[in-house]
Amino acid sequence: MAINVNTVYTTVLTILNKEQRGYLTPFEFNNIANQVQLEVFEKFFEDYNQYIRMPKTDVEFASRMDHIREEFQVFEETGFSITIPAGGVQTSNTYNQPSNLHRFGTAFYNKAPGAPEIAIMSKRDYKEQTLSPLLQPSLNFPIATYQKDQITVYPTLSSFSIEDVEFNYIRKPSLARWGYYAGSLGQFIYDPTVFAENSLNNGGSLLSSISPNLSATAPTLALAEYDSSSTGVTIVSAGGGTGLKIKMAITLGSGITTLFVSNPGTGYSVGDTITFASATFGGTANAVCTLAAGDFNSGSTYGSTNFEISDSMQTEVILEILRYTGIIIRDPQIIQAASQQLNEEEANSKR
Amino acid sequence: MGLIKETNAQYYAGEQVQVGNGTATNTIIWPSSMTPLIWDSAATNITSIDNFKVYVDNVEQTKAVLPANGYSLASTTTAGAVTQTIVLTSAVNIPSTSVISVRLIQKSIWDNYGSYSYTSLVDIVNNFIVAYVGMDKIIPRAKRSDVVFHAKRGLQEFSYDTLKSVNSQELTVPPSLSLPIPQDYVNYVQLSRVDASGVKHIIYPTTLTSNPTQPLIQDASGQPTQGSFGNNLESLQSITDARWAKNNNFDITGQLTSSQINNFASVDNFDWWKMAYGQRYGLEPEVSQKNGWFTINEREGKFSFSSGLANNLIILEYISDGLAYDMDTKIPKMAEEALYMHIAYSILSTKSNVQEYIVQRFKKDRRAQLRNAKIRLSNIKLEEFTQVMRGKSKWIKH
Repeated sequence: MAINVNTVYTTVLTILNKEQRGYLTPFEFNNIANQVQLEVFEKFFEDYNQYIRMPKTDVEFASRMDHIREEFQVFEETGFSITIPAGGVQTSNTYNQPSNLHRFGTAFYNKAPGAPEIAIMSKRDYKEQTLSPLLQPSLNFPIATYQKDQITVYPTLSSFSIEDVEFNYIRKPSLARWGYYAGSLGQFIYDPTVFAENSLNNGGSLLSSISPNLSATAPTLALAEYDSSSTGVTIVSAGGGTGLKIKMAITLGSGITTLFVSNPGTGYSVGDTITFASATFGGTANAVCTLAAGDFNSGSTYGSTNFEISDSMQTEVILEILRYTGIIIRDPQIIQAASQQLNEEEANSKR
Repeated sequence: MGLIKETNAQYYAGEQVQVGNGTATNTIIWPSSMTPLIWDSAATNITSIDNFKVYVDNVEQTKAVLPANGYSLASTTTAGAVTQTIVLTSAVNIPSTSVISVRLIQKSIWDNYGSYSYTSLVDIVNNFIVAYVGMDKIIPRAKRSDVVFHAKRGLQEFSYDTLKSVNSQELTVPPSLSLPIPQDYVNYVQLSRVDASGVKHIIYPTTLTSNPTQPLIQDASGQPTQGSFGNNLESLQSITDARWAKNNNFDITGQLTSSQINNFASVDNFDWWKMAYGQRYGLEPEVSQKNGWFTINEREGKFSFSSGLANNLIILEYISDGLAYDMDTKIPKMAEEALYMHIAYSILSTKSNVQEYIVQRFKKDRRAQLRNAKIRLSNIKLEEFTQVMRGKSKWIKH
């Protein structure tokens, strides 16, 4: 299970704030969090390699090999090759690796009976191998060269499809993100909504995107929820967005004074409009809210992403973040304490 | 899960049957468990590549490239699963009372019979990688190409002396007295003449003559002559070969003709050769046989036979290396373990940093398993052995 980003941030702040040592802003935390996550993630593979060369046990829960495998299985994926640009047609025996591939595992040749594993080799090895009559590539024993993020598979057949080659690989972890919005006192309030680049900010105000607003003559209207089926509300979405719900209130003399997203729905994009008809809500002209980049997660601080590495690494993640934080706030004591703790854990795990 | 995927009916009949769907276009899915269908897509007529035919009510259909009437084969492989579909288009609708059958040709059916006693090279390689290569095993890492190489080399070596991979051709010796060496020939096992009763008589190679590889054309002083490019000129026909072809075998074997017997085999005949008197001195048992001889003419790549064998039926038994054709790459299950041990030993002995005692252990294992395979494949059955020994007047207690 993933590590909750809010738990980590609050724990770090708690430890850090003891004796008023310092403070870590969400922006700094997010940057450090990603650095730490990547460090821990990369260490999986080094540790795995080290464990392979150490004495092993099959006793349940005691196998370091199984444990580390369990840590990175979350990132293991199987996917077809891709065309560049996306949506193109595969026209040769050179296949692009999946775009999110981080560490190459194996590739399988789906065009051959039983989808055998493709032997990946350098161009030099390929040349040498094909000079041997016994080792010519065949459907049962396909081979491939790997260059420029592409594999060229032999034997070459007459037709091609991106589904010919299936990759088994490790992808990179998603960026951890402590999403927030500013409270009434300027404080950072955690937004637990799962971050999605094209998702509208859940609870985010759309007031600044209204132009024009309803005129001052529009009567006061209490806060209520509206969607595309509501009378007087028209939502136009170029991408066919659905499910958006908004809460809106009108104050006589000021037009719409409260407008925020209560359900972000899906499929909306910058430039989509929400129109409030003056015939329904009063005033002389319709109010139009045109969605701007800042109304979406990608253009704001809304939306959170948890650490993808498993919660068994929580302590290590917190200690690593503390170590970096010590550098930021220039406190050698924190660096030392965190480093010492980390070294102890490391020594224990490799013993 | 059992290893046999074909149903009994599919195995024995080698065909897939379904009734017509009432339209002119019928699609038959060929079961993946059966021998895969092969066809020559470039040819509109059945060729030697095709291994199946399509019948409607036992009437053979014509092969055609769609949309013309006839049948065609489409093979698709999705995620490693092969689907073969035969589309039969007919000028008239095929009613549900008609039976459409896709039938393997007889040779394919015969090939399939007894196929359970073999395993494929692909399976051998895959099994080996699963069972012998990996973490905590003696071979922690081996490239697939290394395994394939040693498997194929092993198959070649085993083909020469262990496996039952003797091919045999039935041929008639033409008046030219020579036959081309088979395409996948590695060495001969035996050549035999077949008599009128179908009984084989061994034809031996002879050292009495040989086939020169360079029958040079000489000038009057004995120097080889050269052509316009400076190369030695050679005669198309070797004089030695020509003379051997004209030779009367009886001059060598010492066999008497009926006229010789009638005219000279009389006790009253006192001619100097004294044919009917006592022993026939000077006969060489090696050549005193009437089955004929053969030589291998390396220059022409042919077997050459002695003159007495013209127009005779012969059987040529030879070994190949098991890799000539894809279908050859099958290994008797009785030699499967021997091949695993061969691959393991070959990899370990060529790998660096492997202790010598491990290499030696696998060397012994390989030798033991190879011996086992040879014994098994020699097909010695106790009862048959006993029967042979009875013929030798041995006292068998059993």
